[in-house]
Amino acid sequence: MKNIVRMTVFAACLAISACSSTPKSKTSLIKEEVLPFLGGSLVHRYEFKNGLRLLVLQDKSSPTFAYQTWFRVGSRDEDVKYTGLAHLFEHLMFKATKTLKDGEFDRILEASGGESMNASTSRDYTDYVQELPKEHLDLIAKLEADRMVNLVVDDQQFKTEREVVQNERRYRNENSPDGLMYQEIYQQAYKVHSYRWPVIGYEEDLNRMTAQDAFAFYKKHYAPNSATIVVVGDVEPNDVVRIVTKYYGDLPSVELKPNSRTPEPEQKAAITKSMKLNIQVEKLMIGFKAPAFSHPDIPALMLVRSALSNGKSSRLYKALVETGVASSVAAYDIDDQDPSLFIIHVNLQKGKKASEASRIIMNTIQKFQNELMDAKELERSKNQLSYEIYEAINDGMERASFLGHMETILPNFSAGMKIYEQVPSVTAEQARDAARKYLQSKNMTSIIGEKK
Amino acid sequence: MRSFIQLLIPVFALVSFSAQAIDVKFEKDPAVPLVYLNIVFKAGASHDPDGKRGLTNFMGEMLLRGTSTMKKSEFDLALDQIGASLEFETRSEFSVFRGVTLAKELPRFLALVESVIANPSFNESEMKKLKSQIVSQILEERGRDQSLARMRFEEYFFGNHPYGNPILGKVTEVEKLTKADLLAHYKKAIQAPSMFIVGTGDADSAVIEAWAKKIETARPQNDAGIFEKIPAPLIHAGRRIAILDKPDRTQTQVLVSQPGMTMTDPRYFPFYLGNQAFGGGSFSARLMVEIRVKRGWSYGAYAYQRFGIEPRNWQAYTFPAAKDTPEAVARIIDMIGDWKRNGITEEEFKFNQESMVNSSGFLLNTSKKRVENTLLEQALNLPQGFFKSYRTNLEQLTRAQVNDTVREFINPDQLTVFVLGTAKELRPKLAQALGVDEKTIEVIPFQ
Repeated sequence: MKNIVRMTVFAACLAISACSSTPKSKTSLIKEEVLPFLGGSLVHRYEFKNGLRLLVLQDKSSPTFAYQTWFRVGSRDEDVKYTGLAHLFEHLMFKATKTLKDGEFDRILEASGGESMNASTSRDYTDYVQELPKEHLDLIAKLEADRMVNLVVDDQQFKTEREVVQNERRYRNENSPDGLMYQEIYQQAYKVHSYRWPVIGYEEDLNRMTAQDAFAFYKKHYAPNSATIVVVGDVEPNDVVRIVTKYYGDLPSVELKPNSRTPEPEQKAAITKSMKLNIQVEKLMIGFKAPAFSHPDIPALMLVRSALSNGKSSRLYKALVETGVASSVAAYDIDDQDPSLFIIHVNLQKGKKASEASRIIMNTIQKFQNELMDAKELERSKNQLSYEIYEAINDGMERASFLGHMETILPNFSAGMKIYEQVPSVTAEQARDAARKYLQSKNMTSIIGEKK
Repeated sequence: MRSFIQLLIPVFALVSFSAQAIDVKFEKDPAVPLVYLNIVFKAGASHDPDGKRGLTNFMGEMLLRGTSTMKKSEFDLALDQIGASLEFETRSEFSVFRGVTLAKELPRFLALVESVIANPSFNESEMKKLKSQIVSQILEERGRDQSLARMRFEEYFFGNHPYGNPILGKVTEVEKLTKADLLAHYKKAIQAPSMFIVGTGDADSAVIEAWAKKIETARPQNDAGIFEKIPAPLIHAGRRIAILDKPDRTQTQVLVSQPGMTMTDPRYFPFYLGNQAFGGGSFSARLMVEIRVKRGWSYGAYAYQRFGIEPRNWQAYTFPAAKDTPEAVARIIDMIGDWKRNGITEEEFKFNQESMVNSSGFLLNTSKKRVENTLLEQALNLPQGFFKSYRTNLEQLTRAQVNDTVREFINPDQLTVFVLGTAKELRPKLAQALGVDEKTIEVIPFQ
């Protein structure tokens, strides 16, 4: 296959046992392996007795490193009527601990020259990220280990941060036409699964929460055995292991009790909803039920997405934008842990109707389902995917995010590598079959944004 | 997400070939098999002729819509086939072709970019299609409060000065653009003396250098002349308050602004540090502490400068709930006054200096950042190595320098307060909170 991400796969996998150069203090390690990553670099992967996972990718191109902590908890783990708790709790993780006053975490890192200090919550995970000059590995490990177990949830701070989150919700959803449509499409498409509510939560649920709810959430979900630490940059893997052992090695694991995740029943018919919004041109969002990211059909579905919407020669771009119906079209979102949505998002041109765009999309899909891509289109779609993947791992923070994401939603990051490895060998038949299987009208939820 | 990632103005061992008319700086970086190429033209939205706002952007997009030998569809196909992207980005005083390609496809990619720059077709039916697309994008932007507020604020702040020109232009002016407009603008904007190239990736600089010579031959200096220097904006006397009126807002967009300075101004570094303490985006900065941490009024509160070849503006920005907006605006104005009167404390000075010095390495830590620094240095007429000098400049500062600069530069009597919100509810409350007559608050329709 031409021009596709070439995974440098080192013979089978370079699994090794602890070698003589590893530090003696590494007694809490139960597994150590060296695995290939995109572009030929290697990732040292460790598992500790307390369930903590650690990934280290050495990159000495600058005297800095990215340090990220990924917890396997997201909005999917919330209870009905407590939507938004995972994200609100993410905000609280920057508050006081038993050893640090409120604001000290930020001040210490800022004084040390920390950058990109942030966090995010998704349906499946919560991640805490920062970049630091290379000499501060010990410092960040100490601080992150501290807040993993020693957080103090103060009532007043909780109330203030809840108001901050309400404002974030107004920004991302309530006052954003795209945000409102994205929220609606999951609400409509899911009837029982926790993907049906927005990560940011509902206003009334946020108002209902207390500091005690937040603390209970922390105790239930934050522990070494729900976390993966990813370190990418100018570090020595053995040093990272030694330091992580020092600060995390003795932290106790907890019994993780994930919420019962009721599988979403099969959708039987298309769902359509119109929303009156503060907009000047119509918008359309269509979601097709798609499988979990670990599903064997994902590589083929990635290729379908690429053929449909990556680049200006893609099928939907030509059918919608080139014809003057839409000003933009994009497809995204097939990387969730559970079955999710394959979303097509269209901004219409002045005076054009979303219903027309919907017809064009279905006709384009139908054509894709009935005709095989020729060799050139297949190659083009793979090249576009290849470009997209490399763009997503262009610096240390992005590589760390890629690794953390894969390690969190899959059994391990190597499982993610295998998904990407399969893309070059996807055939036109497999792409067609994936389109037939998933892009059906009975699997479809459409949200139409109309001018108020 | 806990916060927006703080924007860094991010520089290194670039190979420069300044002997040729089109300057090329390319840094080899084999980390991933991609090549990033930026072809910069010293023509931006500020150079759009009167009554033809949006022309630079329109010209750039038209360059991507077919050449003398390839229709648009053929060009798109050829670019996608090799796994590459090429976008035209229009800024106020310059514009950039931002290209990315798989490294092994570099020769084919360069041939495509060359044809775009040297032999555009400017097909009339493509012009018609593009106008419809851009008009729709302008209308679509009206649904996004943050970008709408920023665009309309700039128009309001700079008045008739070219710095107020919206990148996409105005609907009525874009609809009237002609092929003659396009050809005249292309002739002036796309010629070797107005171009330079910066890039990075898994390629040899010699390849880029040889290609630049071809471009230079294809687009040599012509008789259209180059764009005249943009004059410095006029300073509006006195304070003014305006509401960009949009219905049903439960949250506002607030910009409190005054005239700015250039990056070559001797006051730049002392003010940079003083501003970091005031509203630099960290969770220790005054604005963030007062507006978000203590009161929860907004998800974020920041202060920053917008830079150009001439002074643009300094602004504080926040987006509180509509109910908290009057109090938040009043609080920000009070804080600006206090900052001018009292400067920053010794503790604030030491903390921010240490933090900024220690993090200055992140201005330069990736090849993409270093290339972007070089691009800005050349496009904004900054000294070479300007971004590299941050650490030294920051280390040398004293608190007295910082506070003298803040005192001299900040002018609360000259603030422009611009709020996107629903005027009916907001106007009387804002007037009350700011102690002004309601009638003095200008209301501007958002459409």
